Amino acid sequence: MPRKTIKVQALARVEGEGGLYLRINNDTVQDARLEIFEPPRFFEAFLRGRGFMETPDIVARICGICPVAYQMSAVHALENTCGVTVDGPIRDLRRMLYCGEWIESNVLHVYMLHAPDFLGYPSAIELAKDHPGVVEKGLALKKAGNDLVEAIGGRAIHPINIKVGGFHKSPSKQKLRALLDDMKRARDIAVETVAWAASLDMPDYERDYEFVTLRHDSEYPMNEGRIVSSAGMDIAVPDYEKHFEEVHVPHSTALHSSIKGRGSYLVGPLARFNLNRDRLSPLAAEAARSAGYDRPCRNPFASIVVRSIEVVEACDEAIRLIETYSPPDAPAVEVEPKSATGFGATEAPRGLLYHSYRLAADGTIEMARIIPPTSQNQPSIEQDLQEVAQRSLSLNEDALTHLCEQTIRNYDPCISCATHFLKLNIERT
Amino acid sequence: MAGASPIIVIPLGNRSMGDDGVGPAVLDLLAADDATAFAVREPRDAMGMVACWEGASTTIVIDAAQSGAEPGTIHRMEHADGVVPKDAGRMSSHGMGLAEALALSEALGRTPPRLVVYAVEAASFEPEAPLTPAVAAAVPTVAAQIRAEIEGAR
Repeated sequence: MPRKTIKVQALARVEGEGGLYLRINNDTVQDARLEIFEPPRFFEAFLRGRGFMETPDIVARICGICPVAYQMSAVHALENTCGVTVDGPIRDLRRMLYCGEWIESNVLHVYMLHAPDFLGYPSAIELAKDHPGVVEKGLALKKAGNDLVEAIGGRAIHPINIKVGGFHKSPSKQKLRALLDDMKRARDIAVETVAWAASLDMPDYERDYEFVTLRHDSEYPMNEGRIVSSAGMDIAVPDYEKHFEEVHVPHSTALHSSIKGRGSYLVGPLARFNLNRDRLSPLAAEAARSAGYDRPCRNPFASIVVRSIEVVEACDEAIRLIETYSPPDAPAVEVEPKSATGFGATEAPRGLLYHSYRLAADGTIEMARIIPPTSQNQPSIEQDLQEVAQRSLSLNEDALTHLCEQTIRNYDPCISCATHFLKLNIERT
Repeated sequence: MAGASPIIVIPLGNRSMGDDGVGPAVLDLLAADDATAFAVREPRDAMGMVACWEGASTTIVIDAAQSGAEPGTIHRMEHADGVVPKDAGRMSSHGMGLAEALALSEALGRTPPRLVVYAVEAASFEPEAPLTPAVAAAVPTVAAQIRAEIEGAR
């Protein structure tokens, strides 16, 4: 193949604005980049000088798809700063809320963004014309997640009921129990979704990633745990920045993360599943086993199956928590500000989301640091692109371009979340 | 807001992004005036939109527009094949918008029986900025028109 360049100016079916750049010279892929040109977001700077109690409402605005993740990492980091631990029904409510967001976000990706790639459609709209039943399942599942977020968060987009220490108001037992029938139906659909996703034709591709995820003593990780990796890392959340670093690259307004001295790594559904399969509920574990997913999965294209398994887990966990829920005596614990630095990490649908804050004694934020999953995955995405493209150079240009786009969509990258760097610098060749 | 109301109002837009907040601003006026005549839905995305107008006799969407008209111009579009522009709603960086939601509804045989879109021509989408004067001036007019629309639909 002579020298050529493949460029996709604006990727479809990803959250935010990014492009793809590939330079091929004499049968060698010389450069593969996910170009992110979403305007920088400045959220870390917005937070400086604001009161710490304002944080959950501000960070909810970072993302319309995963606001709960930002709120959860923020409240955990700020409670850590102030030396407060939240437990009991408030902790359960947080987990239920997170289950709702996982369902919404994973289902959106599985059915609307990723499935058309496997079934040969340009978008979910064309897919819906031929397979309305498939998309209807997605809609029903998504609604169950949506209703749960709305019941606990106060509204479905940018929830308003979350505060440092807990919630402004706790939902009644009846209000949550009213969701049970729909959630049980959703769980049935989720189990079917795993089998359906596993039946899709997967490109045959595996890579030996270093997987990074939270791991908890007994739960499939959402809100809490230690940071572990498939290469043996096992650290407490406050040590994150000792082991990971962020660098700026010219072609992206998102920072690239790497493990110091080792390089790229992968966060998200594959990492969680591979290192926490033993923490899945019996139903989710059975759904995985029946679909042939009873060992670590290193094929990023199969993330559609793993996301579906996580939807079963989230529905099942939400049902368990709703059935045992009794409202807390008070919807939140008191949190007094402290002059200190604190840390928090939770599992956003797309992977580990790290926050750190330094507060003044009156609770004013002096420093905020937010490291979203997409910027952590960006180097891995580009390495996948390089390898997938290199193996597939015999394809015609349209097919190669599509395969590369699909490679990026495997990660469900949330470009809007990832762009918080201050300098906009787009390299064009 | 009555949950069973067959009239649904969907305010699209972000209060923190200048004139993009026109939908929520109109809703504030509507809600202050008559809180029982319609239900508000705030879908996160196209999938949510398809689900939220299920069962509604009339759906009214309020959004900001960029068509090149004078800022503050009120566009009213009623959905009957092609009346809502194909790229309506593409301003969002988060993928699918109104046009995609309508197309998805059609593909699934769930097209809303009546969909009216009010779009106010915007001048600026500056973060943290208030509505620009021309857009702010249009808000009471749009609210009055929608109020009449709701009365007429009942």
